[in-house]
Amino acid sequence: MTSSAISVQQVDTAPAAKTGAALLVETLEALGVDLVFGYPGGAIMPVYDALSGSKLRHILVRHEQAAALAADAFGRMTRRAGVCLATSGPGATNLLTGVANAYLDSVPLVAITGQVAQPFMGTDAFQEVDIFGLTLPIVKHSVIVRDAREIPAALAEAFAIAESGRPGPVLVDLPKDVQQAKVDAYGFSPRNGDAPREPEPETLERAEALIAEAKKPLFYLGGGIARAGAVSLMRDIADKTRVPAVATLQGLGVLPPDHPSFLGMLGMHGSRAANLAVQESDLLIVVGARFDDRATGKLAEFAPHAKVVHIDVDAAELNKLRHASAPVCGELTACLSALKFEPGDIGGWRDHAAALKAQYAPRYDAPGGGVYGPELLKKLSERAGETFVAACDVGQHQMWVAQHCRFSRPEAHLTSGGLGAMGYGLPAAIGAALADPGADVYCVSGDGSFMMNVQELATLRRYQLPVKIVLLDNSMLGLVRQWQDLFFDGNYSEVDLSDNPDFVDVANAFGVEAFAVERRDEVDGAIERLIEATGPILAHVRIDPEENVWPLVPPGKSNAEMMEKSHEH
Amino acid sequence: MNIDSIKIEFDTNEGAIRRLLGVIESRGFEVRTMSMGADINRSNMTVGVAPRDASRCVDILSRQIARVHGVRQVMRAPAAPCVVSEAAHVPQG
Repeated sequence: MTSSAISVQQVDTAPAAKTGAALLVETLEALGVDLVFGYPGGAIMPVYDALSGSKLRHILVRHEQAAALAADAFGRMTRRAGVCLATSGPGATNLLTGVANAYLDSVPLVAITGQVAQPFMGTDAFQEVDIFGLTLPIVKHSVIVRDAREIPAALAEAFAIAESGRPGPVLVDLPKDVQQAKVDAYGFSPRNGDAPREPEPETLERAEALIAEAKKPLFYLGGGIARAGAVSLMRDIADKTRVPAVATLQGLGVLPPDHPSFLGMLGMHGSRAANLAVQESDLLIVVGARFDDRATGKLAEFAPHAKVVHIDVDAAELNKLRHASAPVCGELTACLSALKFEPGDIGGWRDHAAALKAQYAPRYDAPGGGVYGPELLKKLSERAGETFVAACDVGQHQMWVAQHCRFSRPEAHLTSGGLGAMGYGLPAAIGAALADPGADVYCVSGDGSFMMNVQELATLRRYQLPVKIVLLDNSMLGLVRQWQDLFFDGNYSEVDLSDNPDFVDVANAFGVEAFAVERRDEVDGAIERLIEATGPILAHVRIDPEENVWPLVPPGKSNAEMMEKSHEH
Repeated sequence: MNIDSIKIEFDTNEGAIRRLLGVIESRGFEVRTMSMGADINRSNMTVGVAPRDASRCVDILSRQIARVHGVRQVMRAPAAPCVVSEAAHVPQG
């Protein structure tokens, strides 16, 4: 099910003998890689030896998980595979969360792991772990390179697979003897990624007929649009058709929040306007999305009146969870270019959608003098403007970012959607700052998530990356506390983090500038200080431990059954 | 519970069998029978699979197998077309 999608130039036709490790580094350079995130160790030492004389820039993180998560963010920002490097055993297992994160959000990534030498494989050798086996369920593909002469071909194929079709992570496991072997005969050959897919004319016609007939069509925009580089095409279609639109968490930024057709995020913490429009719609035009349960709520009651046009590059997503009347499979750019989006008279529906948006617009008039997280985030994203990029952690703050920030493009919103991995934010911000030095990168974190990769403050400091950290501290695992409050009779089990360290002191100890924000009247000044900072900086923002994320669709309920702030005791 | 038969042709690569069986099991099917053959470049496997619950659709499984890198062809014994239930999977909390 593959074809020749990418060819790589032969780099050396009459090579002198070199080690497999040197060949690996040379191949990465030939493939256009200029940045790798990693951490050395025993079984990858030959590669690190070769790295020191190469053109590759290596970012030394302080935990391999951060290498994988930073590479993930690099992949999201550039649509080229981010590269992470780790030794065998614990180095490799520490990559797992990052690899799984890339898999679940369809991000191009190549993870290269050292492995014990082949004679030791299978003997329970020191730092031996079957990382090939461990990663099988969370990679698009993987390979153990058994012969150093195969290194160029294996890497070329890894990148081709990671970046083509529906992107994903690829693991390349490299035994130490292969890294050390001397080889003098090797070369590239064209490598296969996913075969480009063209949509079938019959399904296009069916989709066009459904769009023309629909009285209440709705675009349902997903992360696949950004992964496919189809954002401007999608924006043109939205502008031309003026069909109301909602987005998944990964689809935010395809349309800006102030776009007249855009109703916001759908799903568990989606806007009421978006969820109600989905429930009323008679045609969902799903573009690069997969009916994730966080988006659909109770599937049996999701969009009960709607037929579905489902456009996706991955045939396995079509009809997986929701029947599609027109399943359109192909590269999104090809599909969107080929489809004629000619809706009928939907003026009344447009007006209704716009009225929903106006009626259920978020309010920022929270009582009291404390900092209101949603308001701070909205102001920050608007003040930072077009260059604003948010790398989120996971929790209440993640949902506030999704609900209230303004994103100029999908790549400006780096969030762990499918995996929901706490600890993503800071490494992702590092990856983003290196992928796009012109971006104004903010790590938005919570006090729970931040501690999961706090060691990466050292990486920020080492490379003087101008990442601005907004740490919203409620001394609580806030989202878990909210659920315990709502669905577990207020039994607060193991959510109290009131013994957190002083995060200003922590940042300072790592050599990072930091300051505290305690009151609402300090917010504007804090935002200006963050924007003007030229190096890494952390704002430690105290927020109300009782603050919740609203709206919320309770688990197992329909998206029509949203809980609002009025449900608070 | 019905057993569906799927024939898979795939490149003979290290880990391919583990990978394919892993896809079948992780997508909600039990492997009930299996036979296979291989030459140096190409392997084939015929697997009898049974869904773990009624919501699992062998057509979808076939497409999930087909997208595995190195898989050349997936065929299944004729069966009634799968109708995706609106309540195919229960969302996890």
